[in-house]
Amino acid sequence: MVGALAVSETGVITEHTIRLTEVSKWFGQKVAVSDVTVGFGPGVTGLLGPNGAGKTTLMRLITGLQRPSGGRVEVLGRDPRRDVDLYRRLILVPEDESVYAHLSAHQFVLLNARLMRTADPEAATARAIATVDLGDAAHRRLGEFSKGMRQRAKVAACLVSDPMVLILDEPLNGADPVQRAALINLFVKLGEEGRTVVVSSHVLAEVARMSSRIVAMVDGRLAAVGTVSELRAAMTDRPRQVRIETDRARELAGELMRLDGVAGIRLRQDTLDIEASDALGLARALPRIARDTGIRLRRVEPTDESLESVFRYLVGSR
Amino acid sequence: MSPTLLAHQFRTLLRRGRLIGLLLLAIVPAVIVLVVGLAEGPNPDLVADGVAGLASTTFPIAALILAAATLRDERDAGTLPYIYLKPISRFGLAVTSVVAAASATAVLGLTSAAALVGSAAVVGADMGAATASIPLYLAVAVGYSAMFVPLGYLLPRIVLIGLAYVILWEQVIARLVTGVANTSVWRFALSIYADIVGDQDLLSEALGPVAPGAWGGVAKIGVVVTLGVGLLTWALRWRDAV
Repeated sequence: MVGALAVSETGVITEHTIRLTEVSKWFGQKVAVSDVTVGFGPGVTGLLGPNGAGKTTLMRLITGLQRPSGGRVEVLGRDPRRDVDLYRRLILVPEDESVYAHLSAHQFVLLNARLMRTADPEAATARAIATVDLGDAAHRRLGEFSKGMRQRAKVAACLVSDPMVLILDEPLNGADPVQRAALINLFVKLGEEGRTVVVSSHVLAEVARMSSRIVAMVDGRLAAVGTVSELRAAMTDRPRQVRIETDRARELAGELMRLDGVAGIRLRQDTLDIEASDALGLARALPRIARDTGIRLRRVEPTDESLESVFRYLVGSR
Repeated sequence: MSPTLLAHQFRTLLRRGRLIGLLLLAIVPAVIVLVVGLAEGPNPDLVADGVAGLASTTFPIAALILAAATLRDERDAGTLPYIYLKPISRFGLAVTSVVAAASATAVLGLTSAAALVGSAAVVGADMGAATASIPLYLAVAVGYSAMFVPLGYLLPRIVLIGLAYVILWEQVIARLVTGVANTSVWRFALSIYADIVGDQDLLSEALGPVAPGAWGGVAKIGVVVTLGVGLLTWALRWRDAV
């Protein structure tokens, strides 16, 4: 054991590297984070929530930039507000676009390497810049960079110290599709190496691509924790959206309206958009109706399995 | 103390645009001494008059701007996490920040003093009074940095508050209300200058109840440094950084 952490025979931390216990943070009368108890372990975890949900505050509490009003934060078994040596292993890529505009990307990353007391700062800087593919622009001033390039420079600055815990606040902001794909691959790889990577993002499809686990926040509270499919399965009472393409849409709509589990149908040429309060009942009934009536089903698909729809449900249900 | 952070903060504080403006502000007394000296001829009190008069606001304002910017600019720009989330003790971060501000201000002070010495040489004024401005400006650099780096970290509108302190508190209220001069960092530094230059009526008037004395001035500046570093260490440790 390392502090409160379980460590496997290979030295990989198998339990939570970040642990928040009944953590709250308020600013005057405004509650930003309320009584959150959650852990983050190795791998990539997506931190989701609408604007003002408390994601950034939670990340600042984890890194020690802000002090909890109540509760306890531990990273690698230590309190980030008390133990500055923790910052050799814990890094934050802040949401703000701000960087030192007068520095080149190389100078910025090198500054971070030196402040981190990295063994060979020049070599670490070269490696980190190559990792985010900024080699050609390394000696240009950050003030001349696009938003996406600045994001990559910030990620490079965090990689120079070979951190175990990475807190990335909206790291894909401003990146173009190619850069996004590269950064997502990088975060996934870091997670696969056993590092704890916490990523917040508004681009929900990308979070679903990179995250093995989701922590959803709403109004400063924990809304849900789990994988996307676990979250989905947990919401059994939620109406499902199903789209059916058929050759006789009007006739099929009439048949489906007789089912108890169908709350509503929208007809659009050959397509039916169905809101099913009992998705399982619909799934059982549909083949029987098709067989009995001879209606041909060209395509049947759920339209609300995306992370965004799950998240909207979580927000709306509170 | 972190030499890497010190170099970074020093360079950031003395970026070209800001440096030019502050240098112009810092050499104003030397320019006035030159102009007045050329117009009116030799005057033994000319340099001390310029130091006790004009420099009492121009140089503290320059020192205030640099000290306030040291951590406040980082907080306002959102770059503070890049230095705060590093394996540097809070005391080390506090000391480094105050030293960086004092060093940057000292560059201005030495330039200002050099300009004053040059002006004094041209107009045949008191060279001793001109060279004594070096310890004065260094003491101001240290004192104001120790005061305004922590306040800059804590307070968003510190330049306005600082201007009120430099102009209203130190120059107006301290002359009207007995005892207020004892809270003036400028007068602590000026007491060192007065000790070196010798007793002069205009310096006594500027000092008010603060007695001339190099060691007394150094000790008072030392108290300001201790309080300032202590306050900043406390704030870095216990207050939110963003």
